[in-house]
Amino acid sequence: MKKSIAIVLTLIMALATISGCAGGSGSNSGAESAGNSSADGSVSADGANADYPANVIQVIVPYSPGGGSDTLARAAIAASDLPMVAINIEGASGLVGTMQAYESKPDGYTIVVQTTHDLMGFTVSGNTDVRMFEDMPAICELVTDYNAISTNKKTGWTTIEDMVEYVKAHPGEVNWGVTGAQGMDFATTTMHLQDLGIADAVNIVPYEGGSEGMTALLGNHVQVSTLTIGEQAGGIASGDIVPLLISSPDRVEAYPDVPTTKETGLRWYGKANRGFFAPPGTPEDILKILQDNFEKVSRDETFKQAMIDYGFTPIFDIGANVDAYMTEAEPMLADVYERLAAINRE
Amino acid sequence: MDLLTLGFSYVFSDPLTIFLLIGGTLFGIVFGSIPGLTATLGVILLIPFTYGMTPVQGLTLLISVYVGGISGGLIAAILINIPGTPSSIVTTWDGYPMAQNGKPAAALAIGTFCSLLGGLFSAFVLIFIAPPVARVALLFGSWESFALAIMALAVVVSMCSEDILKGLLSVTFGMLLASVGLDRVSGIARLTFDNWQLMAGFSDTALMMGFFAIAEIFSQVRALNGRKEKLEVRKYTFFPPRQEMKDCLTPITLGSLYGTFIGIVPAIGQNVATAIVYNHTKALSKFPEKFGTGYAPGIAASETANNAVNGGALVPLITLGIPGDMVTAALIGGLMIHGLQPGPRLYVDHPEIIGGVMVSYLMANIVMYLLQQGLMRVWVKLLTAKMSYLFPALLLSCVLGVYTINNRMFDVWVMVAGAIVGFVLMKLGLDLVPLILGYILGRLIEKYMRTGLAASHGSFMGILKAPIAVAFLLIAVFLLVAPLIFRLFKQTKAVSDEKDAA
Repeated sequence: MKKSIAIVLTLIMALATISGCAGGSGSNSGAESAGNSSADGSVSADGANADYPANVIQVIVPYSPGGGSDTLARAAIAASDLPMVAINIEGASGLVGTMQAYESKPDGYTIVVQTTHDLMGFTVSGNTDVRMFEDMPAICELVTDYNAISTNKKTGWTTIEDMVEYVKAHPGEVNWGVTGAQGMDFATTTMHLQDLGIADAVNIVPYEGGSEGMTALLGNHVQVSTLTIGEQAGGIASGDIVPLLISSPDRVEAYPDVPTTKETGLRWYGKANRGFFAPPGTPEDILKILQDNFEKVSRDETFKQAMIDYGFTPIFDIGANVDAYMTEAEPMLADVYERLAAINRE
Repeated sequence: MDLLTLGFSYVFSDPLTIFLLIGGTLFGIVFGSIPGLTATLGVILLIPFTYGMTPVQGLTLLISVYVGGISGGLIAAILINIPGTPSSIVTTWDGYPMAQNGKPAAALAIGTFCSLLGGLFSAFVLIFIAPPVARVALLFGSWESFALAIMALAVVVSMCSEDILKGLLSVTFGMLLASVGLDRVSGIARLTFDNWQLMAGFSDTALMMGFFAIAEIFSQVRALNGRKEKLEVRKYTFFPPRQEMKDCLTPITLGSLYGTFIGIVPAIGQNVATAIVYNHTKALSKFPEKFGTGYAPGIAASETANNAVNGGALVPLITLGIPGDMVTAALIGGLMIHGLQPGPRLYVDHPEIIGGVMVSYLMANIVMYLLQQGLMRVWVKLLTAKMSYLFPALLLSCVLGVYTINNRMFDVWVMVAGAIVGFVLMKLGLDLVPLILGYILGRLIEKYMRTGLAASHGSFMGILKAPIAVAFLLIAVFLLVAPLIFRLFKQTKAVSDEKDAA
């Protein structure tokens, strides 16, 4: 009797250990944390954070394990000099985990990985009362990812003009898949459609995630779809999916033959830069330590290769630039969301 | 066939892969058998470790944990009436009564054996006819999936035909719970009362653990003094008793077919599959009254179906690069991290991966049977401790498991609230299974209905262009109306019999 209870308890403790290890597998210096447990005491308002980090830094990944943000965070952690662990808190398309980071202590021991445009989207779309993207200082951006507008090979279209011509001749017939309803992809697609002059001629079909959108495109339930390049790479390679346009300013290395939105004369492009953000009020010197750490990560060859393998393009941009970009881009984004709201009211 | 040879050579040439296969299955069974620690949690915890492995090693580990986990859930379901992992909820219906009737060893052996059969059937589909079968996943657009979910809902409602009012109440309450959170189509917060923690809705695992583990513990604790404290399992057998298995042919066939099919169609999942198969088996049976009293086909229906779903979900994964659930999504992440593009090209460019997935899934099922049935004494020992020791330990594992799955304390509170609500509903005589199925299906129905409407100019007429969807809807109508007609027919017959007698 006692023995079996001992077995159960041992297993439970084993679980606790495993979950600790699972989170910490990316951390290369867990032992450093053992020395100092009073992390809170070490942060003071005057910026004397000489012993930072005295503890393990939690990196909140607001999506499920195995996704893009998770891969970025874990690869960055593995290449970091600072002790860090990734913690997945998913829900409401990334909002829940980000909100948890927003409400965490600004002591540098909790940060969050997020797509810059999504962070803005939470606030601009009106889903949060707090102005998250304004209050949360950016640490840096590390990778970018582009959307491509693609079609199923069954449609026979090979250029964006083919598609536009068909849509204009057959209004209301073509279904256009978009992921992350009301998110940034939705917003940029709406902008593209207006620029192409076919906003009222296609049916926008919103999908919850990239894989659902991909299934619908492969099954020809939607004829055109806006998806990230990474999500469609398998289908493009097999020839089932034909990319028509990449939503980016410059041609993308892996697809030199596919024209960009800028060349085509579309105003907006749907880049998805991903980076790290800190809770509101995190001291400047801590942000600097974190930014320097990630700058070093961005030069790490293993990290870069891991990102390219995943379909991302490695970049590096400092937090100040990211913050400035967000302030600048807000009116544009607000405009897009206003139009979306108008479309929804109809 | 070359794929299989290649897969075998990849999996068996590497001692570490063999170790991961066996170790992963063992780890899965442990996680599956302890309520609170679910199969999904087992996979989530191990994902970060796979980043450092080769693709075949990583996939082998995750697949074997999942196979072990889904199967391991039956042990607690049979012994203590608490599903060890949510996919075994339906197993409790006949598994627990059978154990109480003095045949726990037989119940365990039947469950494990049927798990093996369901797993093997789906493995054969995966190995031999995956590419053509995967086209099924592509045939399913929004309306087809919508109609399938409606049909499943009709099954759930007809399941409650003994007390239709209470059944409908449960289903509706479940659907109401499903509508909490950020609406995924228009991005509007519903029923969140300005609390951002509610934006994501409720966690499935938290609700299911609250309803089926903690609420069940509450109600068992009330009766703790009234009955014997411990279940004795004597006479372990490696194979299930022949006599009982004879009746199980129908549920095994239905479970294998439906389970694999439901696995192939994205997002429906094990719980729905087990309920449908159980219900259909009961409808076809000569002895429907025996179901729920410890009848072997009841166990067979549930356990064949939930394990067949695993293999089905792997079909679109390897052929099209489409994930069917959380676990296959994790497998896709595991491929991408190694620079492999999941998609139709994978068959041509990386046959070793395809072969590896096939072989590790097939072998994981066999290893699962050997470990689960061979070490049954150990698993039983885990769960037949004195209730006064066991229950506190299980409460602890539920809290730990539900917290760890998404690192949110909020989920633990959802579980506690779910347990209290669940307990009250149980005492009021409401069945919690239709409630949770209403919750699962409510979300699917809403999602597919809205994407379907978006694609058909906001009109339901689009459904008429989808023949598969129409067929499912007709079946749904039949399922709802048939019992009524049947009853009416019986009554008129009774009346005419009376007349004849007079």
